[in-house]
Amino acid sequence: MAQISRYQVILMLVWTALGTGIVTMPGTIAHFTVHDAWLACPWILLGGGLCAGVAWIHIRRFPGQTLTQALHLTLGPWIGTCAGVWYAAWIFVSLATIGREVTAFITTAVLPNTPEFVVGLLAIACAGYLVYLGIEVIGRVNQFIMPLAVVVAPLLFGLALRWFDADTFRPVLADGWMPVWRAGIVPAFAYGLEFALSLQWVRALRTPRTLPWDILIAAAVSAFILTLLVALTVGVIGASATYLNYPVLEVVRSVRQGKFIERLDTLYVMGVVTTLVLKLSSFHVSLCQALQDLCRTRDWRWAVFPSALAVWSASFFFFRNLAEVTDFILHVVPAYFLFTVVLLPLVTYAVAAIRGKDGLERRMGPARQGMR
Amino acid sequence: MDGVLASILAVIAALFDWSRLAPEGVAAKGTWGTLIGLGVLCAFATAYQWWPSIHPLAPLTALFERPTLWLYGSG
Repeated sequence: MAQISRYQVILMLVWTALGTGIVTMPGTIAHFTVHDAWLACPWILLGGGLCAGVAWIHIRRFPGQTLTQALHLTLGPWIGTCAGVWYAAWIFVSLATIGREVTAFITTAVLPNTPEFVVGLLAIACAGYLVYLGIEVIGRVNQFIMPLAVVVAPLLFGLALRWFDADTFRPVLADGWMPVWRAGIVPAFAYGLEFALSLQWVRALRTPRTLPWDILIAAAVSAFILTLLVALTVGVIGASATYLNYPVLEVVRSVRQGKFIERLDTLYVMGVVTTLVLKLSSFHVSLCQALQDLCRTRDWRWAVFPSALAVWSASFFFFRNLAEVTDFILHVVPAYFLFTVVLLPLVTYAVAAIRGKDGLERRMGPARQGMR
Repeated sequence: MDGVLASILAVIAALFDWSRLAPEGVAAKGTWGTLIGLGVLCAFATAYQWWPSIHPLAPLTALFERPTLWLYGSG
């Protein structure tokens, strides 16, 4: 199997969090606080820390096994399969949510007259093609995007600094810590817990033992970038961030130098769409590997096309509009993610610890033969 | 519209020749997986058309809305 390096894993994780994080997180944070919005972003480290802890236990107890394999091995063929289906359903629902966010963003920002079904089909087809080519290709595309992002993003946001007003942040913590905690729930338990997706990539990692550290590095990088971005957004557009679906887009639209440099939002949309497709492909490859483990097949490419079709359809079926997506992320996702990617694996590892090493190794023998 | 879309997808999937993409032995699973998955989706979509108050994600909302409110400190 093709393998991915630590650098590629970190980039994949960073874009997994930032792909939709850049687009929607400033808006969701501004629902709760504007003055102290920048303080809510570092909470993503809490989610990253939880995922790193889960990964640390996983790598030591189930070396070379994905989470769905660990569920099957520990909880047995019936409960383990049910838990695996629940986990695959979590990836599926997340994919549908991301897919709907992608189509809503593209149709709102650049293609208002194009049917959403067509935009969704194109985005999911791009991600599906990347997945079909393999996880190493996804890693390399992440690497390719990085230098472009490093050059273009500071340029775009640097040009917006002339409208920056530091008074927007004062007084600091005027309403106490409660609004900051509430604003930090989505970064911590929705975006931060997405790092747990990497447990499905374990078979493809060149150095699996460093995965917990890679998750922590990715969480730190994401927290830093998001804090800068949210501070810039609030500093430039102020309290109106509360009422906008895409406040960062408005920040970029505000860039105007003389009569020659304006409407740079095209560059921003191009970059964001690329990272969104990368996020879709990271989730999609994890779904395909979960389906491979559940169906015990040697390959996972058979799952790419059917799951892409299902995700495309489900993204419109689950969410009629962006308001439903935002409501789902704000009111369901935090506890749903916490249960699925933290509590479920921890219970599994506890059961594995109670059963002991001998019982697991007896199961691992035939299971490995069937799953590889 | 959702029901129509899901039905069209199910037909496309059924007509798709899996042997071109999938290695031997996996093709049947791919076809059955697609048909079952899209069949379930189609059933959901049709139910959704007839009873729009029943949202496909309603079970998740029922399970996790209160714990999420508790996380916000207002449960």
